[in-house]
Amino acid sequence: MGAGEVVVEARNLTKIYRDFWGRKKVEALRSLSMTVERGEIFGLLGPNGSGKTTTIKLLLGLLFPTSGDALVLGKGADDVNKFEKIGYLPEESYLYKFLSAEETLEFYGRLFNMSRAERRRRSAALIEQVGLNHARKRLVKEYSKGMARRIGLAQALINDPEVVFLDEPTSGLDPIGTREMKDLILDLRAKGKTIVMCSHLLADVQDVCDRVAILHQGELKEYGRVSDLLEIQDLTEVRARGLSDSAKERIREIIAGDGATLESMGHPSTTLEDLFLRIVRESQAHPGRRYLPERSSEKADPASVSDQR
Amino acid sequence: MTIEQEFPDLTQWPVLQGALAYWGQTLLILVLLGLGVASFRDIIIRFQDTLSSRGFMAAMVGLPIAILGGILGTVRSLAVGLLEIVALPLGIRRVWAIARLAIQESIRRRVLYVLLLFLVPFLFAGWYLPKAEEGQLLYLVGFTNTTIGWLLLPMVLFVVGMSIPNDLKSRTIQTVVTKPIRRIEFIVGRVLGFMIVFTIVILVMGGVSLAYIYYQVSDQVLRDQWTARVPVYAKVEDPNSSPFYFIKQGVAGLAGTNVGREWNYRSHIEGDTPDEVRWFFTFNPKQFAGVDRTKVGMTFDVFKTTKGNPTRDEDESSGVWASLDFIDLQNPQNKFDRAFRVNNNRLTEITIPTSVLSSGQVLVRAQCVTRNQYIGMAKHDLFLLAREQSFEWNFIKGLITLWLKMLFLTSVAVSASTVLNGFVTVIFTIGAYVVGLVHNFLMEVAGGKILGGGPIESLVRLVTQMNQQADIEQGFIRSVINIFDPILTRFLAAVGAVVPDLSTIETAEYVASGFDIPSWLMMRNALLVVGYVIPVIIVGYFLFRGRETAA
Repeated sequence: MGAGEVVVEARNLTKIYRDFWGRKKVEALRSLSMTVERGEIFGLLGPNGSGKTTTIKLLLGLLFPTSGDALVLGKGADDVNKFEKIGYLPEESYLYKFLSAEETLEFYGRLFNMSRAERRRRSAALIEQVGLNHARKRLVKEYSKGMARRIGLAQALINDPEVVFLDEPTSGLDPIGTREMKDLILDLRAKGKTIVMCSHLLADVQDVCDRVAILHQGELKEYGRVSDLLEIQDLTEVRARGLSDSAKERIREIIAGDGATLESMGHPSTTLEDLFLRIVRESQAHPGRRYLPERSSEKADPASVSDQR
Repeated sequence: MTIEQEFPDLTQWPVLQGALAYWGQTLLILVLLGLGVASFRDIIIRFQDTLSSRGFMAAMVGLPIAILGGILGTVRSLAVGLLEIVALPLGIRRVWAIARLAIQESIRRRVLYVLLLFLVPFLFAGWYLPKAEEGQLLYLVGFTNTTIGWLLLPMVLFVVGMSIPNDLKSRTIQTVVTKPIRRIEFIVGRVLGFMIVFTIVILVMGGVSLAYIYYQVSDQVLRDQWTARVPVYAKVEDPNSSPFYFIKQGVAGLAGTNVGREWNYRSHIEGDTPDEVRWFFTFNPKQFAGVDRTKVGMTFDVFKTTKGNPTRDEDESSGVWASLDFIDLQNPQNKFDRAFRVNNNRLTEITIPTSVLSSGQVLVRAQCVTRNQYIGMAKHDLFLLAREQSFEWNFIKGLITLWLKMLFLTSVAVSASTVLNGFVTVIFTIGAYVVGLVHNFLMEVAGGKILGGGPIESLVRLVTQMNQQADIEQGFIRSVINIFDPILTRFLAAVGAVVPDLSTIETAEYVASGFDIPSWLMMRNALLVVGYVIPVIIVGYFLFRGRETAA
């Protein structure tokens, strides 16, 4: 992924929180260096208090670095012009509760010096995109957490940004919302946007991110492509559908003959997320009917074979 | 209506130029001071960093670099900041977005309900309305202005003071400052938005007040006092000579006889003597053209040395009488004289033929006619009435003064709230307002002009119930006073030098006594407030820029 052009860069980025007298209190981030290239989805991973959000806030100029540089699109922390091409969805959607969805997007559109017609067009399209058409006139304070998250995302995209920073994008969302958010993130990448997100929900990161940086106690611990980091070199996975019992037996024999160890052979289970989404889709298609899993198709179930050398 | 202090005529360009130059100098000093403080802080932090990571020796060796780095960093930040200030007009749409937000916030948070609260005092004000025609207008204008002022004050304090701290607390600021908005646009937008709300509030309250006053006062007051007189005061072209002086026993001077009044605004002349008072008027005669007779207004003080009421209405021959001579200086044959009974400390109006004013240069001589009595006069006690403006417009001008005060408070509150939390901002702004109101007293205490000494000394006198004149004996307490009072009074002087004297911009008395608020006074007030608001906003901007919005 990525055309190689660096759009986000941290150089020896250090953040020390100080007390009133300027004495050191916490070292939130220690000499972080990393780059994000155009068109990729970059994940910042780590437990609570590891410095993920601090990194994003430093890149956005919400915090000032103690030393080092935080560059976005080649511009430093105090260059306001870079925000023309940046979108930011904070940890929780911090929005003005006394505005409606439409007014919220109008307001943020004005901050980009957009003309009236452009603001109207953009906000209508975004409200449609995040599925809040039915609630466009309602005040944000009446919104559920998921709805607030969506309007938060819409405000982050109001300027059609090149780089989007998402702080815990799936927090507070139900499985459907999470899936939609992930699809949207992938969709943004398809349109050539660069996404920097941080999360401690590892499954979400694994699903969408091209590269990750793992932070712990303010230090960079691991950094690279998700596929490279997660691949287990000495394990082989075979997936097949409609395999007969005799065929399975033959496979066991081959593995044994090769001198390798068979780790497991059986039917994989789906994820709870997939099951949940299937139920909801079924329910929408046939209201009032109870979900019936496809038990009868035993022979059509995929079987998986794993071996170890 | 007394005018105790005279102010330079700011409609004259050289005067204004001087004032602007002085203002510019002050601003420059402020900027340099801020630069120093910011650099100092930066240097300390750099020093501490090296100290903690590499030890004392390294920190000492690196000190020159830290100092240079601190100064350069601050200068750079200042330059960027100044550029943003200059570029403010380019971001007018963003300023407006923030202003609109402030308006929407005020409306949706039901701030305008204060308008209903405003109506409450009106239900009861009528109970206390003086029956006599004399004080009615004064009472009502004072009442409405005070009510509007005191209702707006908490509104400014809480709505404005809590606004940015609320944004920081709810973190909505984080979605705003990550848009291409400059901090100066944010601050100016906030001030603008709130001022639009306050303008609406003031206009509504002012309209209600005006209608209320109109229906409360008697017909007599409506006929006589529902006006805004535009007086022409004594004036000469030559700045070295006085347009007003006394002649006492044949000698000219700036004071007449001292009758022992504590207030030395007026000086007196004795009755039935050759002593006199002279006013010289230089004016454009065109402003009196078109009418046969012109009104002359006077407010004289009567000091009597015999028993009885000098101004008994029922007895024509009683009272203290004065005579006035109007002499055209271009043509001394053209003159007019008139004797009349003086209203003690109240406006007396007489009419004179306009022809005597035709040249634009007039001498007025006043003498006291009644034997053994004295009349006190000051420069502004006699004036020619050029024309009259409408009371309503004058009332609005009075509201503009109130508006200016709110502008000052709003910008102080917005700027303070960029670094202080909501509650502290409110306290800070109240402090600035109170200091502004008691400015005169504060400066007198600071200058040692008040009996009873500085803060500590007066506290000691208060607690020990000692009078203001008695000496405090040498000893421990005296030493404490000697050490701390000079420090505290200097501190007070410094505070007084920073905060404007809000009592001098008061104009309600003009409206209430039926005098047009002079344009120079309006201009001076506007300049005074704007002269403060600009630096306050700039200081707020730099504080805000130096602040992390996500901490």
